[in-house]
Amino acid sequence: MDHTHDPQATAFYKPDETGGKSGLASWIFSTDHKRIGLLYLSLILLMFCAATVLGLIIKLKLMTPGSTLLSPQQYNAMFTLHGVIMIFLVVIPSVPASFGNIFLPLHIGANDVSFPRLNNFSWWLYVIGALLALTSIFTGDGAPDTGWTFYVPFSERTTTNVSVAVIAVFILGFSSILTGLNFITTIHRLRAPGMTWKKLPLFAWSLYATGWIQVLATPILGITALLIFAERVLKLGLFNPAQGGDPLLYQHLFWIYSHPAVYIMILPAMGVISEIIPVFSRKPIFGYNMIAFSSLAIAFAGSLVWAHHMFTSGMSDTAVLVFSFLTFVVAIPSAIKVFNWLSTLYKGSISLDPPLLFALGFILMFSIGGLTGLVLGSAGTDIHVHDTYFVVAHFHYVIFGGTGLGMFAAMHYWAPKVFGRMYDHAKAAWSFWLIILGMNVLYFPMFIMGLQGMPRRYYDYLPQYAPLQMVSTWGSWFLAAGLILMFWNLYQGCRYGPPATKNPWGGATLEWTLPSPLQHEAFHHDPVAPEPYDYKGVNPDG
Amino acid sequence: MEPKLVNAVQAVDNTFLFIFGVSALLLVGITAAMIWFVIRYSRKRNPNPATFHGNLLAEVIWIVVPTLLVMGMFYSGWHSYRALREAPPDAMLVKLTARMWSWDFEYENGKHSSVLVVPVGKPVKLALTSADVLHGFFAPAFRIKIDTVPGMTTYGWFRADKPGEFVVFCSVYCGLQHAKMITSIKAVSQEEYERFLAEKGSGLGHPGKALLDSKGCLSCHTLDGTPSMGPSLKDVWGREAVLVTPDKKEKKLKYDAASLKMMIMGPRTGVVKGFEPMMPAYQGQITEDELTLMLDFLERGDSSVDGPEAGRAVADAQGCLGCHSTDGSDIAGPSFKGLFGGKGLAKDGAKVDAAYVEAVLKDPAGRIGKPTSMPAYPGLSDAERGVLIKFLESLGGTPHTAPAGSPADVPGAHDGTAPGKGHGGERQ
Repeated sequence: MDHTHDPQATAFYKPDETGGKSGLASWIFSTDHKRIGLLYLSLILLMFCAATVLGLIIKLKLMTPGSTLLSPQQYNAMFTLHGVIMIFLVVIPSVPASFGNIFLPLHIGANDVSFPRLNNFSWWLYVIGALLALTSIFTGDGAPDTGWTFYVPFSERTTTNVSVAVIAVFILGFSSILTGLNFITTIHRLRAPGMTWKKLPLFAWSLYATGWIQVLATPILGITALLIFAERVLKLGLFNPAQGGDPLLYQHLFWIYSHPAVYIMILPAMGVISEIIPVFSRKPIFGYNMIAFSSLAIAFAGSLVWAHHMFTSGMSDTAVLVFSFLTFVVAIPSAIKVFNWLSTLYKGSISLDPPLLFALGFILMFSIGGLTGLVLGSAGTDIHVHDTYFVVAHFHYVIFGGTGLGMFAAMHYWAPKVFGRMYDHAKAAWSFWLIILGMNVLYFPMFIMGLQGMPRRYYDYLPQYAPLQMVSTWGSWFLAAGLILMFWNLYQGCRYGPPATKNPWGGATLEWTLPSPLQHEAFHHDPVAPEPYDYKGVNPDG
Repeated sequence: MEPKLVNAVQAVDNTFLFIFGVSALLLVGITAAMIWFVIRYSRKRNPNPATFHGNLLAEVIWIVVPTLLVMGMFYSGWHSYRALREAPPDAMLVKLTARMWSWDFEYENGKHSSVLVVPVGKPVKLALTSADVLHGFFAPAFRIKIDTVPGMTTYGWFRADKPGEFVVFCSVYCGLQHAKMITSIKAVSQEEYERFLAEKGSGLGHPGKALLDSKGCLSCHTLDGTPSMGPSLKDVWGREAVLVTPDKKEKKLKYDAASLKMMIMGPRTGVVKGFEPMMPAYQGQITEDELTLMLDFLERGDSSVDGPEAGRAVADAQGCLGCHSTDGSDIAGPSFKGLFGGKGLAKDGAKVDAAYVEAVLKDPAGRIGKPTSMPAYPGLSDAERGVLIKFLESLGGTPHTAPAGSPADVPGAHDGTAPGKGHGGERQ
């Protein structure tokens, strides 16, 4: 370590002595990828907490049948907001906008992304989109009550504030598109000398695949959101059968983006897992080529399966046949990743530190989510469980158990690098077990209720579902306790924890050659591209 | 197996079992391997990690085997999907129109009902559509779920193999009362089904008449004046009869609301002379509301087809009652009770009268002056509109004074302003 000065004093989040902006402006107008990443991270976590509180209230309302905690209208608005905030403001930007921004350039030996000002602009679009989404809640004739899917014709008829909400979605879409564009260009143009495609860390590979989906699929969401707006304001009738329109057209347009979007959500998290598992196993990642390739395969095949959300919609049986088949095809690269991660553990030298715990939690939860997805891909069984709690459970296992735990793993993996301090490992482990327990108690009963026919988006339910609903609500409390403990422990650690060393986990990617915390400028001269998963001579220094 | 004999429920359940079986094995395998590796290859036990980067054979195996498995699942799922889709040629057709937030089933003879009654063992083909937004017909017991789409007809079929009542949910979110859009499939014997079909539906006919039929009254009491097992109900109102009490005394009886209630619900003070004491007491089997409808029919007969009770039938059939209650509580729209003569939701503050209701029915948003989720009802006949308005008029009660836009949604909105509603403290 450099002993001539304290790296904390010159951290990238401390004022830059070399001039430039200062104070708040040095953050919100920053073009530094690390600061933008932190800005994203803090807003995303804030939104996550808000939407989690909504989720907890929903579970509280559903604890007993006939509960009057929320009126029907309040309940419908609340599950809509929970979905809109979680999907568009939390999960889609989650890993790429925060840790992607901070570590993608460092992983490839660059000092920033290709278009730093565009990067700042993307963040501003995110802020504007978030503010508009908040506006839609408190203005007009009440918060949107359509569900996050904005299905027509209901979204055209409801008097609630849908128009503002879809404009928010439109703007948020552009934030995502520009981030994807930035990442793709960065990976193509700014790799350090010797950083061949085969030396690219798998996290960068996953962001590369994600970037292409963001750039290619998100514009369709933008257009679709605008069309809803136009339908409501101009009464175009595109989706209105009375005017010769077609409600199914909307569903196609919506899912052409929104199915690939779940790969925007999960791929970066898979990238994080691919980084963490070899580091804590001290063993090269098993099947590097296949993991990198499977990211691209998921991005490609995942763009061709959208209509599996529509098996009951009234579209043709031939379409059901084709989309069911393609859905099973996309299951294969996901399975490959899981087997490769497991084989990386095999004969490793494993240290069960908090990042690895969260990564293994990801594998468990993602496996449950992925395997139950097979039930949804199969046409005959999907008919029964479509639009029931089964889908809700599946989605939360994949997105919360997958992307969420991937995000938490990233936070525990990279916090010492970003802030230069270490959190308490025992508390981190406790929070992990509480979260895993809470998630399973919360969501597993939903699989059973779904199989028993419990439809989603019901503010009340038949008495036969009462016992499992109650158990599910208990689970939400364990989960909340785990989240509070985790955030508190991370906050304490990043603020007051003991100084972290340069490479506490023994990672071989380039960010671990830099001081902790990260400095304003990362690389003073081009680094030598390492073998990212070769741990010979690289050891934890903590 | 003959394709016609495919049991769709069984086919779907087989696919479930197949996928869950394979999934459970994989999940247990993955989890067990993960835990075993973490223990066996912990840094303490295994300080020196291996250095291999991959294994071609292993990777080929875990590409090929999952591929074969998922293709099997795909085929099985497709097979059971076909079973759900291909209605046998002898299936009977029932048309279904979904609307916010109720169901309207139409049978081959033109009869309508809000609960789907089918004969056991008979395949039923459903032709579904929607009057407003998307809904979904979901009958878990038969593993079917079909979206109803406005402007489009979708199809599905099922067969109830045993008698019983099976729940039907709306599966596609459709607004405020989505969670209450629940009905059922009643599977009954062929004879019962035919009796049901023969009953007059709830259309414009008097609902009290339909009730007399569905409660079985008409199998002993005719409506055409000929005595059967019991006295005819034709012109029964105001007629006089002789009642034989249990101690064989005779006394006069005039049929009016009180005496008819006594005769129907019990306890009876005697038997009408010339008939056997074989009629059961209907206490507990006929509700107060049903009795009111029946008595209204007996009093006014078919002439009351243009009376308020016929208006209630229209309101019920058109789905009005999904949003407008008749007991003073606000659901999605203002309650019908006390609506007439009170202040409407209109921006211009107009009082609710016949002209106002007609205007709202034709163009809700236009008349009210702001967006509303109420659809227009251009299909109502003049007669139907007329009885509907009579019905609204008949529902007296406290005039509707709640300010527009503050229905029951807001907790605390009732504080002290609505005595007798009993909402106080329920939420706090």
